[in-house]
Amino acid sequence: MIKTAKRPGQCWTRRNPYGLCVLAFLLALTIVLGVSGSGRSTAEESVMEKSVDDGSAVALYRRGISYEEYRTLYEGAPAPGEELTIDLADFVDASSNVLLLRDFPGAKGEVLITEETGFVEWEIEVATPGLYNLKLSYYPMEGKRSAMERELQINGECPFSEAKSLTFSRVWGDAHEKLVDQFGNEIRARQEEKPCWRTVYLSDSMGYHDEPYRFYFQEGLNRVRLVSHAEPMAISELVLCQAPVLPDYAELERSYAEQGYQPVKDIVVKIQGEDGVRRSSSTLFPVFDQGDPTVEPYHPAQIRLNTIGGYRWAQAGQWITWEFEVPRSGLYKIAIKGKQDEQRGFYSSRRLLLDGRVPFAEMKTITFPFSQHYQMQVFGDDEPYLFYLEKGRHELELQVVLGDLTKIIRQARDSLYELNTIYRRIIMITSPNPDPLRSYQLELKIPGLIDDLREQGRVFRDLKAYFQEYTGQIGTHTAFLEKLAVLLERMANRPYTIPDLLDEYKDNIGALGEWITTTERQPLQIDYIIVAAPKESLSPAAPTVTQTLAHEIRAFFHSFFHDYTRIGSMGKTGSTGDTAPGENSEALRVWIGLGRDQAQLLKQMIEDSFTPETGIPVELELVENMGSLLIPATIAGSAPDVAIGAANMELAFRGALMDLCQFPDFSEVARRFKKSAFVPFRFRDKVYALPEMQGFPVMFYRQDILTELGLDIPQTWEDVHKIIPVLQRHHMQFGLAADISTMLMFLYQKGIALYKEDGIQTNLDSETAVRTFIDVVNFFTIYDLPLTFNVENRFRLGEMPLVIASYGLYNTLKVFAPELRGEWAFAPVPGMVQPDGTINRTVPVGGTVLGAQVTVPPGTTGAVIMDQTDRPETAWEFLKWWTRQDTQVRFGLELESLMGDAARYATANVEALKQLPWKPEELDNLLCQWDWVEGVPPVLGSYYVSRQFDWLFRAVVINNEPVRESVQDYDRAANLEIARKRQEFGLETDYHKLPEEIKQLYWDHYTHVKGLEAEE
Amino acid sequence: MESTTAVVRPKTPRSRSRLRDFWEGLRRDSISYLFIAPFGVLFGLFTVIPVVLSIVLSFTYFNMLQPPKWVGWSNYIRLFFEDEIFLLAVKNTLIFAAITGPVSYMACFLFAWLINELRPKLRAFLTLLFYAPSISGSAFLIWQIMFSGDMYGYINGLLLRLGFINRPIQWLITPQYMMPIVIIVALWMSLGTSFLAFIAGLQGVDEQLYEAGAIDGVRNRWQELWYLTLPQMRPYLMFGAIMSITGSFTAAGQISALTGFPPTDYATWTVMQHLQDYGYIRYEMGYAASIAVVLFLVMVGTQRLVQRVLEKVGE
Repeated sequence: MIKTAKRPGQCWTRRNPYGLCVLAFLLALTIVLGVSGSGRSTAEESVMEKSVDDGSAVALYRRGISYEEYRTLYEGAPAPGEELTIDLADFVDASSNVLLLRDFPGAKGEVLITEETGFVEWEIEVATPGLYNLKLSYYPMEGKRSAMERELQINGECPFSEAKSLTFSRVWGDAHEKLVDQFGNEIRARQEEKPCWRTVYLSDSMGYHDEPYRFYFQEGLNRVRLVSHAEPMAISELVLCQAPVLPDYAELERSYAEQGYQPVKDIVVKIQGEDGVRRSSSTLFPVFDQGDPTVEPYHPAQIRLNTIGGYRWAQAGQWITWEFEVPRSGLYKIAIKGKQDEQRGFYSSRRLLLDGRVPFAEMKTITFPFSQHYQMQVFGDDEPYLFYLEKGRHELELQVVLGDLTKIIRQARDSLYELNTIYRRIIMITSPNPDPLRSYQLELKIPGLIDDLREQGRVFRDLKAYFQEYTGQIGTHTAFLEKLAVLLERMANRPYTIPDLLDEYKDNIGALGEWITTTERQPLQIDYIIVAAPKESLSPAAPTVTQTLAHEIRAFFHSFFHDYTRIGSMGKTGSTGDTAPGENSEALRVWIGLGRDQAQLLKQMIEDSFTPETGIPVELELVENMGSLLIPATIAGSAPDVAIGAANMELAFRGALMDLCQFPDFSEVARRFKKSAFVPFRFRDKVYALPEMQGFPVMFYRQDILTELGLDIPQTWEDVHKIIPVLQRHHMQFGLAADISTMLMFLYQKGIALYKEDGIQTNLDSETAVRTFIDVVNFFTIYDLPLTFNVENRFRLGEMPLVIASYGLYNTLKVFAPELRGEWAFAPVPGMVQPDGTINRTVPVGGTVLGAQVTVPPGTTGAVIMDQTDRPETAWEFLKWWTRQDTQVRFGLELESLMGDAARYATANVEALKQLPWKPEELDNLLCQWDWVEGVPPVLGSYYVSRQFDWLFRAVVINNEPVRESVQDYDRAANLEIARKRQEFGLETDYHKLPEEIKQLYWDHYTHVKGLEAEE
Repeated sequence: MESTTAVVRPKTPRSRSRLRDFWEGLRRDSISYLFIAPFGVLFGLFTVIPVVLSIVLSFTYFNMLQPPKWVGWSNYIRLFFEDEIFLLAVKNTLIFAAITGPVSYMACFLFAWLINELRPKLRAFLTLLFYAPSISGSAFLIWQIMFSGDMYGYINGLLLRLGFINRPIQWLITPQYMMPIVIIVALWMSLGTSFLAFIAGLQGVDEQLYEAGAIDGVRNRWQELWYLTLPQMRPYLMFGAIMSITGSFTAAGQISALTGFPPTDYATWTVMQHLQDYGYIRYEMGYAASIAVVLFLVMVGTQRLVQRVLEKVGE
């Protein structure tokens, strides 16, 4: 490392011989000026003053008023006891898509149906002003399967920022009984919506506030408006009232005695966890726990779906409802056999509801401590708490709550945002890489910085104390908070150390974000729940040593006979996949290169939809590293009939793929996709793949930072040119990839192709292309945009508030940066103004081979039929089914159910994408950008073009080589390779001899690209 | 064995009697042949046949999906007379091999010699320490972070902080820095198998020889090393040399991981990368096979040369 560190020093002196002289001169100058003491208004000083101005000129963006602030604002306001029901039918204003129904199943009275966009407004006369809770009955209407989101406004404005996104969960359950495959394994049932009416008090969906929200209503007429942000839902009741105050158990016990309730005898009702009838999320399905012989039902080797929850049931607000029946009225005790083996040293908290209400105050938060094994949790101090149950059916619901962590998490999250803001304010002065030799005098330049740092330091000290008290121990969690507090105090006490500590500070911000996401998890896995007579003894939950030993021995012996890796079929017909690969010569062989979850999902879909529909049996094979396996398989003659995600034009040019145009209904099927999706898989009049996924770039932006700097979202590149200096003055950057994709974007926006007709040569040497190249290069030389950067980190920290990236970043940010919720969004990329005034926002999208576990690829992926297949018709049927709208929608939705929010699926089917759970505004932006997507055609030797372009770019940007000469040199090499490759395949290499009809065909494939030179 | 019988055509009676001798020998020593048969079969199947096949393929056009076509010497003609980049790759490979091969070889021996002098516990510990980079397969990836072109890359960060540079240097994509970086990383990784072999060899030298040498007039450690230690270690030295030669001639994976595939302006392009480029990216297996054959011949030649040199050790 020392050896290498020397090199740049040498180079630097070699390449900038003047550098040292200038440095020495400056040094001398400073000494002279320092001695004379009078020349303090040097150039540097005035620069400093200017930056002071810039720093203070920035109006710091504040988030909207939080609920906490709102509460202090109305502290002491009365909580009137009256109940005011809003007559839903009597709205004063509404968007046109609101529907009023008289008789809706399961609802009494009128029902208002609100769509995924729009609003309704009512007026309500309030006699006593004060704070009210809002009670709402809702019914999830069929939509895109995601949670419903509404905004509440009172008298024309949103009272606090949390009220902007009130979410209401859908209701999920098993679609059918669980299935058993031919190996005896239980297979999870499909998750299906089980809509029903639910009555809730409006409250925080993230669980950061324990109590339902209270809204202030003034005396007289108030306007209440409900604005839709996502998903349709029906409302049957909206009431201003007070949420009931819960009695504590002692009080309740007295009332039991007064009412003469008696404990029952000899009754044990066991409710299996996996039988939960209703769940808030489709990811809360029954799961399989094999490691423990006491779990019911049990089998040492076969899959038994015997528990529910676990790490999936960890987010505040998620709930599971069980139904059970008791034979006699009376007092019962409740015990839960559960396991929390993830959060060492903490509790997992739940709220227990019986028949929709919390029975007494202690049940608002019940805690499950960490344990390796299942534990039988009975609630109550010495005597178990007793619950009065009437004879008959009851519902028991467990909701994830943050419990005592509520305050800690809320505080930490607010602080995280504050720390990020402080970081941005500091780097606006110092840049992310401060000069260690310079004194920045930050305490003077950033008013209030020291106080803010000290305040945050105090916050973390408090948090640490509170946390220590809560967990009763000092561990890594408290150590982290302590470390952060010490760091902040050090920065506050010695402001001159801030530039040195900046890196550490930044790392700690990242660590704090991670700390919050791990700490707020409340996982719990439930085997069963027992409702029993108080005197009944409960069997111990933890396995004995003999039980464990017996389990291990049995599992060991079963491992000789049981194949754990096979994906068995449900075996109704017994015709699909129940033979080893290759044995069933009737079945269509399909390769898929995705993860096991996706493969299993596809298998299930084939079995319950494709095979019954068409009678074609399918053998699905999960193949890792498909790109490199397909070639040897083709040589060996063992290639599949269909390969999903494997579209690769190198195979097509060599005759391994089948031309899909030969199927009579091809043009009809092609209408499912954008024309641009075919460009990468099309050569002359042949098409070699059906598109499956299409990821394309959009522009992500940080709303908070743009507002802070007073900037609008740039629409054109001129706007970007104006914005970059403003960003850079505050040491922020615009994110633009330093590769051929940026060049292509600029070319395409001028309507220029990168390749000449038929891909015979590049078009890089045309005058427009050279000028475009100079424009691109200027971004990285004159504007000095970074060449290498980590998009996620810089966007999160705010160093790069505007970045052009594939929309897969959306998935990453949703999971990776929870503290930024609502502070970022995406928009179409900036474009060029066309003569008619519209903006051309074309982005290039090429073909790509699918990698495992990817849900938004960087380009277009396609499914292919191998040329060797002896059943092209059947294979085509399969491709048609697979890319069909309903299949793609179901795949996308179920993938998201299975893998969570981060798995939004980038289907290439246009109608299918519209049905994925995008919010309307996001969908509009996506569709707008999608209209401006243009494909990159396949070219023999194209690998050489991107290679040569990268080098050309580096030569010009890094080594300052002359532009035009370099373009010619590198372009010539690329064209030579293209010509060589075309000769290999016997294609015309002389541009002038290329037939007109082939030229015409080439231009017909494009949507936005029109020629080789811009029309000016 | 089959191939030898095929090559020797029974034309004259003399050759026929040779064939008979061979058969008789085979029958006489059949037990011995039986014992080496398992290895022989595996060696033939996985080494001899692929080598022969690739020699055959090097005379064909083969795009991996369609059957190969015979093209005679044209691959070789193109390789030596038309492909400038191949010549560049040869140059790079020679520079790379000429520096990393001998330096790493000598370093291996030097470290092994030094460590051998230490106490057993310390020796075991240091052996592990030196050997660590090469067992932990992709440990060299930390160099990627060190030389990252981002301003948060370690070296860029350090230099920016110390004020030597004011914008990050793109270490791994700027041609003039690439080769030195690759060589440094290769040297760092090179204390591998040959290092272990040397340690084993040094431990195997008979102590009595040193005593005898002292009596016979060895005056210093250098003489001891040259006249006693090294000749005793000749097999180990040979093994180490072969490992070093193959290692530095076929270096590709770590280079690609550091400077990209392909590297800017082919600045660190090696023959092995050239081969991969033609094989996996351009689907020209026949041409790739001809590169492999040339590489094979060069390595065999170098190995013969080294063998000659090693025979001189201790004389």
